[in-house]
Amino acid sequence: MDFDFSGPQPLFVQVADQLRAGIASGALPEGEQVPSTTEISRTYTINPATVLKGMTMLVDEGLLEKRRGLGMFVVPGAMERLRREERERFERDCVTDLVAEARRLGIGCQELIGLIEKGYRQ
Amino acid sequence: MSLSVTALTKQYGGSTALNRLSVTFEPNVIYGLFGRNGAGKSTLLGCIGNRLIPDTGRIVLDGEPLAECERLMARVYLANERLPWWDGVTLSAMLADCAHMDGRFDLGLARELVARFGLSPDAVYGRLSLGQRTMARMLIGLCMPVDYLFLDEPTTGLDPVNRRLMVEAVLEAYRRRSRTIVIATHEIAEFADILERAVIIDQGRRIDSFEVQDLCSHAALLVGPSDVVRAYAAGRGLRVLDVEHRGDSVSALVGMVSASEPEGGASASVAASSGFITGGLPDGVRARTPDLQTYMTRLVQRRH
Repeated sequence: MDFDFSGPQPLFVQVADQLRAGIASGALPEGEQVPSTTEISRTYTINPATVLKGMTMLVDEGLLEKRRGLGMFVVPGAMERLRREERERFERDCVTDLVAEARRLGIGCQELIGLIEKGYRQ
Repeated sequence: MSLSVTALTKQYGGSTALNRLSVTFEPNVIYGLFGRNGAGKSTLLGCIGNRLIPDTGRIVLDGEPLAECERLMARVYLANERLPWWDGVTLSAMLADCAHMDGRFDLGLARELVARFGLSPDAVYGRLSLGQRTMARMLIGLCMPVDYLFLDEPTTGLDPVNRRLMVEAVLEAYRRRSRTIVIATHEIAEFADILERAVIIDQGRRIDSFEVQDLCSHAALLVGPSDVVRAYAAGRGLRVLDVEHRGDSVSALVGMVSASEPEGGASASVAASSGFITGGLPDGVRARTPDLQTYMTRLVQRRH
């Protein structure tokens, strides 16, 4: 995890974002336990209540589940769901912006595809 | 279950250090207590720690007056610039005394912190440097088996590395034994990430208290043309707390803070303002959340 302590996002939102990224990448596997609030609190010197607030966001989103007395676990299917959401977000935000910027610069569709292919080769 | 201070007043000669100050500290929460020099932080903590006698007002722990009860006083500890007892003894003798007085003193953590801060257990307290004496007094406080721990300026004289170690030590002590810890400090940025709530006092009164993580729904900085910013703030019912002029535009600190209502009016109305900076801003106006230090500084800088 990598926190931007001076960033505009509240720390608990960053905790939630980092956990989401971990689930999406498979670093936090489905069905397995995520690091405890205590562990995250100690490692990053963050108030445990703040860490818990971030985790609770993911519980509310149905990505983590709390097992009484055991801790927080990644819900099966969470990775697939996050990846699908990420792809949707990519299309909605990044592609739209890219095409708008290309239009502004007078770059046509074929030329843009060419540039993307070049980017992939690098 | 809480430690609550009601209408506390304390005067020194002709000057008022605390002016009917009221604040409640809930169990198991880490608080930051902020205010300018002379705002009344140390006087407040001195009264709670039974080192100062308030003129009027009440300090109550779990419903009972604190100062009249030894059993309740044993649940509160204040670590400030004074050493409450001992003189001319070594650190290890001080720790042994603490453990002897109360078997629940966390001697293990105390020894660990002495090592982590690079202090010598055989050093005589009075011969330590300013920063080392601070570390010794604070680490003793962190190991006291109390429910309400007050740390007054825990980083006085500490170098940047030791300041970081102090922040970690506070969190480590809190993990080992959950309790309320109130940190009066000017090193706001240093402590911000380990705080759950903040209390700001000014001229002997509490002017604000809020959840640190909810600062984004408590206050915002609006930057833009002066008249547009002011009209927007007025239209949304936001209180303009401070204005800095930057050429043709202004940077305005706005919030739901109610400076004239010290009795919880501020925190009660926070929910109503939640997300106010995301709602359609007028053209030319940008909004962002201030960091804790910027918020505190701008909140108190023009009040005198």
